[in-house]
Amino acid sequence: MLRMEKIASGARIHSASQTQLHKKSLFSKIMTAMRPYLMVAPAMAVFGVFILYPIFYMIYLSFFDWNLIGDMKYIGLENYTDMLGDKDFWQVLGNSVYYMVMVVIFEMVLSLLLAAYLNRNTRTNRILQSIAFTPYITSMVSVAFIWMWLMDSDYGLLNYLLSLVGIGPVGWLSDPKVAMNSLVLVSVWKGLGYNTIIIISAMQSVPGYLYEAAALDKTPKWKSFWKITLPMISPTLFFLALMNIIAALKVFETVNIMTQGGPMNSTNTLVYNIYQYGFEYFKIGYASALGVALMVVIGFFTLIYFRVLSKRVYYN
Amino acid sequence: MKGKVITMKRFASICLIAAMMVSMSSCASETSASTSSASSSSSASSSDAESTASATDSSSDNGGDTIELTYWYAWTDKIQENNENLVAKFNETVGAEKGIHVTAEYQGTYDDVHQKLQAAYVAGDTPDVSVMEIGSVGTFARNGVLQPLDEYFERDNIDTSDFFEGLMINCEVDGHYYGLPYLRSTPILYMNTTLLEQAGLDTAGPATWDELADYCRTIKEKTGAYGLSMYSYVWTFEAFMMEQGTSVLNEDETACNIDTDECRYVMHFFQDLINEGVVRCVAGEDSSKVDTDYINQNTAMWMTSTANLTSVLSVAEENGFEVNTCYIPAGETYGVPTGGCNLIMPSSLTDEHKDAAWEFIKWMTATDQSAYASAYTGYVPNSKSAAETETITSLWETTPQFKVALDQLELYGQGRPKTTAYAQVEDELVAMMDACWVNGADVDSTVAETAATINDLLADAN
Amino acid sequence: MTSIHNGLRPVRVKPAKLIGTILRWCLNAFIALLFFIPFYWMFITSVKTLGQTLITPPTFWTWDPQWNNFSVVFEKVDVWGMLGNSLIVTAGTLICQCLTVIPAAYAFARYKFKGAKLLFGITLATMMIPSQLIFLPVYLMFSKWGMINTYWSLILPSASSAFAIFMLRQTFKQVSEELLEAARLDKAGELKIITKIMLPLARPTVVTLAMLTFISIWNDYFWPLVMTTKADVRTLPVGIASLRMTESGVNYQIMMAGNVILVIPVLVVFFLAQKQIIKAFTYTGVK
Repeated sequence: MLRMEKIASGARIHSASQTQLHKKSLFSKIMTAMRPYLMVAPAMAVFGVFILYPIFYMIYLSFFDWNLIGDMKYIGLENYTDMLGDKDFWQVLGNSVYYMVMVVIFEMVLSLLLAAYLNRNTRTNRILQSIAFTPYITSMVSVAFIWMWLMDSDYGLLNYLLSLVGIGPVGWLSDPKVAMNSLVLVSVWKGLGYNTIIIISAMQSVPGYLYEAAALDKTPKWKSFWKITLPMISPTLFFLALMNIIAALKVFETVNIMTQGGPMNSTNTLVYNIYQYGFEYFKIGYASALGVALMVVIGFFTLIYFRVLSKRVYYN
Repeated sequence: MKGKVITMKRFASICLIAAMMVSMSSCASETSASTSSASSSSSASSSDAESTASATDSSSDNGGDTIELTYWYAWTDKIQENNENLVAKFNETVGAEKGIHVTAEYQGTYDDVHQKLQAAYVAGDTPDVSVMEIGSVGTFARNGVLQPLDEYFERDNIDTSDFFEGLMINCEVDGHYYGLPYLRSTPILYMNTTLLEQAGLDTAGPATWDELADYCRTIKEKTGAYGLSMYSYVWTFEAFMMEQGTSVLNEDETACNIDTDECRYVMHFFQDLINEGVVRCVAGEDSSKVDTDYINQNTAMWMTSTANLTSVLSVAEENGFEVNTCYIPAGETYGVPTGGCNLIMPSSLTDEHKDAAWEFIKWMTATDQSAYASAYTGYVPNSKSAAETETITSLWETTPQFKVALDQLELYGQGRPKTTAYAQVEDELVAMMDACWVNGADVDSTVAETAATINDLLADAN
Repeated sequence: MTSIHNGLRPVRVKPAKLIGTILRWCLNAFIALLFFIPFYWMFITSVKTLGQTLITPPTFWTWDPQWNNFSVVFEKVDVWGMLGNSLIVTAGTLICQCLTVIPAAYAFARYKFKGAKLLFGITLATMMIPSQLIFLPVYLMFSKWGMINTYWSLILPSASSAFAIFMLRQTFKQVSEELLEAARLDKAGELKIITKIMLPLARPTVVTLAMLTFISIWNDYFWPLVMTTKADVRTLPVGIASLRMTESGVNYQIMMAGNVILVIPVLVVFFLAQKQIIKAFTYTGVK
């Protein structure tokens, strides 16, 4: 509200300064001082109303028992004690962390390998990069649909191909031990092209003279990759890993479309769980407490990441 | 600058066209209103005395203005056609008489309807009438979203005893009526009789659980198809529990009957058949596999709603096999929950809209419309009088499969739980079935764990 | 790489090199197929009959394409209407982002003012907060304001972008001070400086950011799913996703036909502007 008034008064000052030229010096002084604030105000208003305020609102709601329709009942920390005492919560949290770790590891390792393979700037490699990039710009709905069909346990292509080499049907999405890994696979498949291209562009910006020096020393290729390329691109890898962590923690689409959290809750993640409590069970307070938990998890991993890994990353 | 001028011109012309369209449509609605009031006088004489009486009441209230109602329904295909047809008929007849115009809006699945209804209630933008899956009536009623209909029942002398008893259970919450049964169903056992004959079995179907097990084994042995294809489905699980003489929740819904010998028996019974390979069970979210199984004649029996009868019969015809239906086989006894939806109205409507909404609900659930909907879709007729109409009796002659559901309902139909926690309880039950039937988990420990979780949920809800 | 090997090279290494080339091409083909086959499978399924989707072994080709599947999709989903919604929401978001991002980026790049660091820090911090975290409170806010099922509920929350502000600020910072001084001497107002000097110079960045926003909003499923309940404001991905839920079982050929409709525009755009799009995304990862 305060911000809005600021904008309004700013606008008034602005128009006034144009009409009353004799007062220009005073108004222009105020205006010059106000200008940067006016310019950032719209963006800040959006962040304030749609990101910061909702966070506080969510924390506030987490102390209530509310089904959206009836009266809000203050229950203190009960949602939190319920949550921490609920084995489903720990399963969901475990699922989210497992998914995140798997996605980040596979995404990083595979895209690093693929980048090393496609690094040389040839026509074929550029075409392959484009092909690998295609899934990244298609919507998650499309990707989820396609893989849901590929992974159909009776008529899916994957199980058919496996049957050709004598492997029995896999319950890609119906076996609780497999389902989460299937979602990891989909996510890695979708993101592989993007991560690869970013890593390649980082690799190509490594100054050539470093390799020339290594070549003079007759350093084997894998060693120069290990000793030169990796350290030089580590800031990029660091950035990508962080992006992948956050992206993995907010996974929703594949869960909602492909498994709906099942079988046996094995693919239920924090975001999907919030959705369930908010929109299916109508427990707003509890859903908000879950939201706070997700925020803590995201904050935790972001912090850990900056603290521990940033020390090892090579900075120029 | 030139570009700007042109776009301004174009903008102006668009505005003009829009304005013209608005004025045209308002003219159109005026003319339709006048023609409908003209036709109402002729059709009024043909309708029964009761509705003419109330028609004169209400038309004096709203002095000729048409009340616009929105009506939300779920599902597409036959069910959608049925909804649209009935609404169109209402608008032409009773609606035209009483100055009510209903617009039907498709909303997706029952879950979609419920979620949207809640959002709409909070935002103050509800439809006037909506379908509601009967398991959710309790939750919405207890939160004050639904309008109690007792006074309307009294005003129009609604004979609740004409409706089948099993269907009225979920219309009533804490002593008040919150809706009337609309598209209602029960689960029944469907059989591919072509496969049954191939296996040398009686096409009347299994009558008891022991016979069901025998059927499954024989079918598998003789035809190679599964005896029964099923999925982790709460609705049929409720039926299994009833047939073992118990129910999922206790009478006052404060605790569950999951950690009992009856439930363990149910779980073991199917787990054994699944382990033998004669029954196939897929996970809850894989429910469509049951459909592909029966379409492909990969299974000889499956359990689903009576509402699917029409589409099953047409699929069977396309794929060259015969279908029969029978009661879900009896354990200790027969017993099935009812399902489907009631018609409800939100409590937030104005009195004028409530009266209009009530006219619509009353008409949609009345004898002739119920018979029509039943014949069109395969849902059961909701009342004794509807079951006696010629539409239904002649249907039974041509397609006797329809009658099974109604007989089962009349004799054994029961309600569904009403507790607000049931959405979550259902998810727990599905997880339990997934564990035992799809993933071979130990029955006794899984059942005990699930029971404890559900009891916690119920304790929270009370 | 010893001298002995070098001496033998003409005789021995050639077949090894050949094998290497073959291996490389096999690997290339594998990578291409890995990303191509799923899309091919979608296309081919979209023109199969229900029966053809339910047989093993599956057919890899059909001589009798069922174009009818697409008309079924158009019957079940209001494709044109939802495509229109997608356009409105995407265009609306782009316009709003222009209005909020450009001045903010300019202010952060060119002015020193009290609290600038704090505000910029807040901006960066919002990048770490995914919309999946705060959808519930935002949903409640919109429903209180009666704005559920309006385009606003889809546009306003993404009316600004921290990432875009950050990127554009970097670009604005690189513009030389002399150029601006010269402009100021000509008595050019700030607005003129932004539109006539800054934006033209930052054009590649702006185009890139617009492209990124376009793709992410166009493809978004989560936000329109939770913020809207009515088909007449929902965007295409939500509409297509609803094909999954029918009461008469899953019809993969219909789902895939819908999916083709959803994917085609993106694929066409991608193949037309491949280089720019890949460059745009590369841009997000470097720095």
